[in-house]
Amino acid sequence: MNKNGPLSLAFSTLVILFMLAPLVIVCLVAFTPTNTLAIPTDGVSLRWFKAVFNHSDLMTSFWNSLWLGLISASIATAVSIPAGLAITRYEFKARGWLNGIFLSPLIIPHLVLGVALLRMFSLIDARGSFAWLAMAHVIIIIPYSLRLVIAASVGTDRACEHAALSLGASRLTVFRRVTVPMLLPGITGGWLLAFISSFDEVTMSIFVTAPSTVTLPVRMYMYATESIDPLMAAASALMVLFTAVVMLALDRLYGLDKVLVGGK
Amino acid sequence: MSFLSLQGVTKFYDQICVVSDFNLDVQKGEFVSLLGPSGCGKTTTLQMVAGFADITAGDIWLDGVNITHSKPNTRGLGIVFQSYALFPHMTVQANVRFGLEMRRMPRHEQDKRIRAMLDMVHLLAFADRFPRELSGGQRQRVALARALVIEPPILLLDEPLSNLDAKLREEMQFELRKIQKTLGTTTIMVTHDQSEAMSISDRVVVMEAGKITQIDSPYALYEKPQTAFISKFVGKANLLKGQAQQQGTGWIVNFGALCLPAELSGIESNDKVVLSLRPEKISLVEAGMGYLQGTVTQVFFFGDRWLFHLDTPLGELIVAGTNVGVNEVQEGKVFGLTWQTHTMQQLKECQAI
Amino acid sequence: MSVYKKTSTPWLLSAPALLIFFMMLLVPLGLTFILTFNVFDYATGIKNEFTLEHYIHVLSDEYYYGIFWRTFWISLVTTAICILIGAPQAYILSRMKSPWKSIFLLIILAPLLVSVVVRAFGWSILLGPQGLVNVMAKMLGMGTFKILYTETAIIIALVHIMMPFMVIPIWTSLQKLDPAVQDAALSLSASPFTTLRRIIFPQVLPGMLAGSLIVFGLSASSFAIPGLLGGRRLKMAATIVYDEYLHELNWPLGATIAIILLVANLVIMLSYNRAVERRYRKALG
Repeated sequence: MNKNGPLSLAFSTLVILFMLAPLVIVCLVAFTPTNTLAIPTDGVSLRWFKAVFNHSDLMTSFWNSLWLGLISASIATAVSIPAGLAITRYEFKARGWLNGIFLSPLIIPHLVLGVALLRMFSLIDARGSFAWLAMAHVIIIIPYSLRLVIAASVGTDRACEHAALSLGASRLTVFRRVTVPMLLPGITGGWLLAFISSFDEVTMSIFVTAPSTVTLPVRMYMYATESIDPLMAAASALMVLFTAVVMLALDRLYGLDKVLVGGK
Repeated sequence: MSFLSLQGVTKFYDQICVVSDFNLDVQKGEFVSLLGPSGCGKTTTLQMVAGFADITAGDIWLDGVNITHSKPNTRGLGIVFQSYALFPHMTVQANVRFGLEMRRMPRHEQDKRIRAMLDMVHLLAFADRFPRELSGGQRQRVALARALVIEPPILLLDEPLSNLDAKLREEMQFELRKIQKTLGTTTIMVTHDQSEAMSISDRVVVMEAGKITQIDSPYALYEKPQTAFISKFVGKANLLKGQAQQQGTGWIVNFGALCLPAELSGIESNDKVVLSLRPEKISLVEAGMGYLQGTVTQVFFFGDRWLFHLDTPLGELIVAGTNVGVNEVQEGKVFGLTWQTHTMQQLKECQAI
Repeated sequence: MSVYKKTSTPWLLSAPALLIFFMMLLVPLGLTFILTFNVFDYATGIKNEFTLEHYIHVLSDEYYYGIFWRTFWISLVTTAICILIGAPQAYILSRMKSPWKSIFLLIILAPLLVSVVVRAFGWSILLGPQGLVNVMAKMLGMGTFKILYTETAIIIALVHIMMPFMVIPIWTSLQKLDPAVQDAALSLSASPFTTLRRIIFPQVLPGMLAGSLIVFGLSASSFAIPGLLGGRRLKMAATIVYDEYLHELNWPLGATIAIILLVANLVIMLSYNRAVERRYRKALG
């Protein structure tokens, strides 16, 4: 492979700076001691972080988002495992269709889905229901966990299951002791990806949440449109930190580059 | 009563016949190879014995029990898969232990057997390693240990050596045979490599397009191939075409350039015949002597032997010679060719391949 | 090869997911589609009578045309910029040496995992009157620019959000390239530029087109970015849907715009995709 010239490297550096800029600025501004959105030049302060933790609405919505993420990611992953196995282990005519159906939420704009679910929720009086909100998140994040389960399944040597059968294991034992352990990196990676996708989601959630179920991104969006102060910056910085922790876990368990580029 | 018996085993995938009327009786302790080019049905046959492929027609009997429709996890056979299929999340020891766990063997008994088996494949020091930390040859031996530790009635090997490099493959061939003889396990091996099949099998089953074409000991298979395909697949062969003519109680074949006596059967006078002649059966003598003359066109050196291509009135003939030190056969030189007429093997098909 | 012979098993395994798909995707979309035909009365709300007036209104009113047009060209410009930056960047990345390659790739893609709200907010700080961009412009003596609450701000933020979606498919295409093919071209006396143009580019084109579709579709339906960076006056398609739903309470009208957005999205994705696939499947297999 040829080397990259200095022009290319300069270009890349600019791109990197561009991609990092908003995240860095948010983290910097979060430490400002003043009331305005300025980079702290006279010293840092943790007052806005304290303000975040004291802000009951923000904290409530954080816990909402956390529980929502845990529950919907778990449901999505639980449902993705058999679906992923069905698509990769069996030869049947509708296989391609099924794969397309399960990945279809990816091409439906979250806006449209939000609006559609709002309509359904209003008809069945589900607007304040946490359970229904979780299911709304599930449909959006299934493609993420499913993709990783499928990639993991494709990457395993199917002969291992035959070997286990030949050694006398029942089909359930094969599933429990051979299939699932081999798929575990994909399953956990899928879970984490689904979790963070649910945690971050804002567009659909704006339509579908009710005052009692408001999620953190929605709360932050509403706050940001009404007032601009460093409280928002501190909350954002904390979110970046939270995301970084999840990314670290994702990298350890599965490999961040594999997850982002597309489970290969 | 044979130990393993395949009777009329046939397999169809939709309308396509993949294995047709496969009949084989294997004795206890025998090492049988299924040999043939890819697509000949040998792997499918193995999968039917293992229970991973449905049988369309026919029966499989193991030690007096009809296992034709038994589930693969009830047959208790030892299988070494082509990719080895080691459980990646388990150590070597755990891999080998798995089959014994399924049989609910007491733990101390398991440990004893595992230790003995790992020792036999020289992997005792690697017991706590994971498959990804092992070389190809080591993984293969783990797969073998896992299959044999359960003391199966039959050992099935699916191209067990194809993923190894040439030198390792040779070593493992002999290792495999040694272990098999020590344990006395009846073994069926599938391979496309004829030297592999020949060197370690008691009998070789040659398959072509789903059918058995010849079952014989390696020596008989080599010396007396039944068809042109087999004669070229197993070793090299010169195919000589001629017309048979009765002479007294024997036969003479008119090859055009010359006539030679031959041992023939099942034909009538003036029938066309094809005879197979192995390169190492031909000797090069002084020009002017021998049955016919040939000019050397190419010379190949293989270390322990030479291969010569000669242009003769019978077409191009290949002659093999052991490396005895000095070689006088060079391109352009003319030599006489001679051989013992009984080494010409009559082939069943009359068309040359 | 599968050991399991019954053909009902895959359906049983897929059943839970299919159920969720049906309940949470098909039914809501169906209900919303029906909703687009409902009559709406500002006094009484959604009535049980049906009409086409919402479609006619949306597709003929100047107000909506303006917004659709803005949505369209913002998405187009975003896509173009993403290609112009993303494609060369992916190419440069593919030629980087080992530790740098992964690091750079990660930095470019990792923002995907951070919520849109945070990223948009970051840009609103950067592009504001006291933001970093204006601070630097002042230092260079260029005066201040009004960037925030203009289309430019929306486009900048959209490019930031969409960049990973462009880089990933192009990167994937580049990974599939056999490096020996490039060497073959060079050995046959092609210049590096010709190799790029005639060997690499055609093979990367499917990835670029896939990325373009994704970026365009996502940009057109983007909500948080125009909301935070466009302000009250710069509306895009998603903003007016929000307005109708949560301010005007005219759900049928909002639904109509949403359905039009959905159909446009699907049509672009599926038909363009099919054309590309057909053309490239023949060549690349």
